[in-house]
Amino acid sequence: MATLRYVAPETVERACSLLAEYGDDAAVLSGGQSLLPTIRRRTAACDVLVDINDLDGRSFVERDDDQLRVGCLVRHADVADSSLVRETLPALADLAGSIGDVQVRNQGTLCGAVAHGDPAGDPPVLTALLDADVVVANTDGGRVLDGRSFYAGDHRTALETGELVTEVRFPVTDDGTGVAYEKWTPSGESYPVTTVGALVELDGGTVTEAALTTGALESKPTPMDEAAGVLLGEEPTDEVLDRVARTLGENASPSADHEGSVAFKRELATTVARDALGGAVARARGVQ
Amino acid sequence: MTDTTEASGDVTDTSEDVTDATDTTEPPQPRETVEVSVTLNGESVTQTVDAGTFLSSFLRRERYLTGTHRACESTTCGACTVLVDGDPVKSCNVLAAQVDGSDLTTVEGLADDDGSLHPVQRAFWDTHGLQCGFCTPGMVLSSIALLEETDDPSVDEIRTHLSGNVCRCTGYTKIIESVKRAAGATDD
Amino acid sequence: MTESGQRVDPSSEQTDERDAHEAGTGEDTLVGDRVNSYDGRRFVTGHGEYVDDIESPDMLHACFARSDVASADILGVDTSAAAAHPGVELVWTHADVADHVDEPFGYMLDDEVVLADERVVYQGQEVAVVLAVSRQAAREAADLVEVEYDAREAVTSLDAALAEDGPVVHPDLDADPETDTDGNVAWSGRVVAGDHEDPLADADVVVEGTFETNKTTPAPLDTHGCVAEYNPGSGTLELTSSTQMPHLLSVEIAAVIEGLEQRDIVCRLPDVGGGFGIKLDPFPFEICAALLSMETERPVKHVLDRTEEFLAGRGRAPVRLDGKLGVTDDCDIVGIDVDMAQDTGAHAAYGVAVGYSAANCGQGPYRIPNQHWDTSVVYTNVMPTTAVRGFGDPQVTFMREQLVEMAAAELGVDAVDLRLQNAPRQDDMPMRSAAGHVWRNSDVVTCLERTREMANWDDHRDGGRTREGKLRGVGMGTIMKRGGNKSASGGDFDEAVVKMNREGDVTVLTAVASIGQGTETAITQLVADTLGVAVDRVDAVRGDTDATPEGLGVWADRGTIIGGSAAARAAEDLAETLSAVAGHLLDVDPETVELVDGRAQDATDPERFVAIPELANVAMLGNPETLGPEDERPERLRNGISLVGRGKYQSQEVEFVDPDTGRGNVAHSYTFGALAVVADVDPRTGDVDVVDVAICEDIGNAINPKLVEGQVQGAIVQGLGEALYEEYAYDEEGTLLNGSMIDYHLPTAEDVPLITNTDKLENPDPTTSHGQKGVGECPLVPVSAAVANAVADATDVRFHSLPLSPQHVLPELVDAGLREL
Repeated sequence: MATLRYVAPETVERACSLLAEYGDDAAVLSGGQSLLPTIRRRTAACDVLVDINDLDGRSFVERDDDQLRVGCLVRHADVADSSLVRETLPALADLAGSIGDVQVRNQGTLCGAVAHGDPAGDPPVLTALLDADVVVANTDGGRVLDGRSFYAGDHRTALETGELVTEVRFPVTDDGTGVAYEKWTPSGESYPVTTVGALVELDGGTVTEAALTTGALESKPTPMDEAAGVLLGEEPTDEVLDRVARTLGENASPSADHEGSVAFKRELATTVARDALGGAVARARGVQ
Repeated sequence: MTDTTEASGDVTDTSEDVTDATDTTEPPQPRETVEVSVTLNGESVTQTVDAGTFLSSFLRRERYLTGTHRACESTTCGACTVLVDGDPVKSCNVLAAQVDGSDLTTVEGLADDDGSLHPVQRAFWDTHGLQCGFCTPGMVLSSIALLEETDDPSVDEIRTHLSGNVCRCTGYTKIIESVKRAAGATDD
Repeated sequence: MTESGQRVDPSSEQTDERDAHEAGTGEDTLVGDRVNSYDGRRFVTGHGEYVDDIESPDMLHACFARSDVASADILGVDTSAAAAHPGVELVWTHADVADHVDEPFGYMLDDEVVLADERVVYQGQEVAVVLAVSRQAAREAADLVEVEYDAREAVTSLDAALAEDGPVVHPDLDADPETDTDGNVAWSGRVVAGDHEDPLADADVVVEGTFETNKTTPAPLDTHGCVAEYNPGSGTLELTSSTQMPHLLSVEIAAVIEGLEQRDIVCRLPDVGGGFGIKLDPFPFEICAALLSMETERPVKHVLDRTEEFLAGRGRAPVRLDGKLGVTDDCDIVGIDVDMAQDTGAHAAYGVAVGYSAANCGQGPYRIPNQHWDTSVVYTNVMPTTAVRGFGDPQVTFMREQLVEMAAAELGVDAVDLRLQNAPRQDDMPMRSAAGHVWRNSDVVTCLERTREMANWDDHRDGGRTREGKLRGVGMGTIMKRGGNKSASGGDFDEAVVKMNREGDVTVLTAVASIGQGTETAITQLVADTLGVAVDRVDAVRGDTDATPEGLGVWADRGTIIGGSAAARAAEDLAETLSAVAGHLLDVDPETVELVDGRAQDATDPERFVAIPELANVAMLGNPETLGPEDERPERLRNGISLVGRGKYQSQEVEFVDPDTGRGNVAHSYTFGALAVVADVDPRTGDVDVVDVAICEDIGNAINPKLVEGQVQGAIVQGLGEALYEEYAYDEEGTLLNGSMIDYHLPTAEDVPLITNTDKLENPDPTTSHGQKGVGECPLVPVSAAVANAVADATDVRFHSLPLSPQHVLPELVDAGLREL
């Protein structure tokens, strides 16, 4: 096993050139909360850690017109505590405040979690649901990837070797649109078994746009379009929302494991989806 | 060209001395060792360690501060919690290299020079918010951080803040009462 | 002593004087005071020394290559890559240790080997050991050991273990006529009383059910570990191990290692960060560390990492119980008939005692004249199980207390009333239970009534709906918990020494181990109280087989009863000497000397006194100039005035049980109690939220109520963890699926309520030094039963297995038509 090497570049360009140079042997270290356990367990494939914490100007949380931009050194705790996030995209603040525990939130970064693609991770769900822009730097000048198609599977994303996520840009929704994020965990110190992100737009009392994405059930965030389709054009009454949630549950394809059977996870997904829908509708109506 | 296996402290090592953004000098190369400079319990410490050294190992094995404990290897239990610039962090999941330049506080740094206990330490002992003591350093440090942020936390706030610190002995009630007591004590 | 070193809680009496005699009891005594824990100041300042904190420059580190399959023949082990790894001193397999150990060994049944020989019997079993200059090098090298396995069918359930012609975990033991092993049954026995052929004959109502409990680990944060250091010059092995029973451990290790006798082994304790029963058995890693040190003549350390602790640290056995309870129409419990099988894992360890004890104590705090218990301990190819907090009581209580509430429902009576009717009365004690227990001075009737009251039983019973739409119910469980154990250790005793230095400061030498429970603190209180010194002036040396007299360690709720009583006797012994010296100096009868507040004073005229430090100095020196000629002194002051007191406590109460009937007084004393849980079931997720726990126990005498509360709260929360969150999950091949703290769900502060609804009775036990009864394990025992009963009350759905986690609860709610969205 090769000895671990460490480098802390000070510019994005330098970081990218190191990542390009070392290819699959290198990994980006931001908060390290997902990467370092693999180092400790000796299961990581990399032996060069590129620590990006010295990069300047990456700790921003800003609103830029219709986008909420979060830089790659912003910690989950910062997102959770940000009044800007709470005002413009409260679901993201809820999500960030629910990750792990205080210690993990103080270290882990939102962009790091987005890039990591853990099937049980929270940030990927909203990234996919809202089709956030994942801004990527590389030695060719960089590109912007669509959040909706960013995730390919278990820890597999659209990132190529040598690329670095420098920020994520979430769309700021208008009045009349509400986004909510809900999850269920077995106990205080667990990964979630089911998460659901919901977006609902209301116009004149009926739903004009709806999106649902689940997390933790499958290998990546999963859009539940059929369930969302049930909601479209309807008034979001309790009966309708129940039906949407049940549709989502029926369509979910979780795997059985020590956390529960397929049937159980589908039931949970139904409840969590119902809560996310209720939250999104309330926000769409202007009720926090 | 910098030799990446150069021994520690060598003056020709360029990886630590670039501070301006124009980056006209040699860019830093990956190295197998890292020089870490921190303020540790109020004292300046500089030491060269292997790049893969976790902060918990740095504290326990390099600095002989064994009050920071390791118990789970999965970033779950919080027995390894220390304060980095005042924020509680799990030292088993942070590299020593990442805290270069930071202000670190471990449990050994809490009592006064004359041995008087920090009010939170005193509250834990008086309230019996500890039994076997293994989770205690982490609990105390997490609690100190909470009380810096919130003068008089509610029971639920304490619960949430301490959800990353597992205890097997107390059942948590006296830990929560200890924090409440310390909140009262630091009101003075 | 600095102010900050004083252990008296300054909050309840805000005087600067920090009077050691707090007004907690209104009496001038330390017994009953809320004194701070003895080790607490060290622990809050981060100056504990746990086994992994021990380092020395010449230390070598051991790491194991462990089996990754549950059942297999070993075709070959290739250690060459491991041995060639940088930093490695040596790599051993079974062949390297075979000549040095007497195998198979085990605490109760000889069914273990130090390193796997021809086969492995559970995932995680030790196959090879690597010794290296650092833990990291040893771990990396251990990963390089290659083992060729021929996998066998793994036995991973009781059904598979008991099936005829199924695979056998220990074929050698089965084939050996000297062992009791029969197929996969390691041991079986029975407990019978009254008309045991037909125990339910007189019943009008019979309720029955099959109950299955979960496999769990108490997961101490401080994992198992030891440092072994052999001195070839003296032939002495020093073993510092995170253990609960240093003396017994030295006996056990000596029995395994050829050429070592008990006298050659010094076993000492580091600070132990929790034990909960799993730090009792002699472990293969301890034996290996000893042998490695003997070989290399250097200190050898091994500490399990958390993954190893989950795989091989041992835990609580799951048990299947087929039980029937018979009650008359007049609500008298007339009989119980139980067939129980304990899945003990690959080795029995304490399992035989647990399986037996569960049956013997299974009747609980009731008068049940006719009993038939068949109990067996069964091998499977999973992690061995052993004594865990509560012993076998939690599992059997889960069954019994549900049968009791089922019977009450069928009879149409209140479940607490049913219990009250069948509970033994304090006025009838001392008495023998049907299973042979001798019950003394205990009032479970009041415990039941108090608990009913504290839990607002009448308000919550029969289910209701909370404002958040949850289904609320209340349920109860009871405690009749043994304190002390003879069958597992040959006798129930402890001996202690109390010595005073020339300044009047005291050291207690006790075999009692400190694992967080605080027995040492109670001991310092008893001793300080007897000698009239400040509790801060008493130190405790614990669990050192060289320095402390022999005792049996801390388990079976015996620490304060047996160990505390021995220390109290030792203090009395020294007190007699001090009184004799003071009486001589003051010219009064020693009988009228009282030791209090740092003085030896004439009780009839307290202004006449000798300060204890002065007394100690005089006695230490023993000069005729101060004491007069020796032949003019009382007997006790001649031929050397000893400032060493000693005392021994040997339980005369515990019996060896009748091997045929299984009856007998298995413990020194019993602690009775009742516990109720108020639980809210979320019909949308299956979450069971425990909103209140009420408990009342008769604990005899709380030497330190603060420490007792801590034990009660901690035990209850461990019980809640096992009732609601925890279970070992194996696949069909015996591979552990959730062996990490992320996947095995231990409760955090967010997951459990505050436990403040607690009460105690103090009807003293007439046989112990201060009337104290066992405390540490009891509150855990009834928790899962109470939770299940509360959920049944809330939903009319009865759960026969554990845990009641949402993945098990929600599907039942769906089936019962209770699921809501």
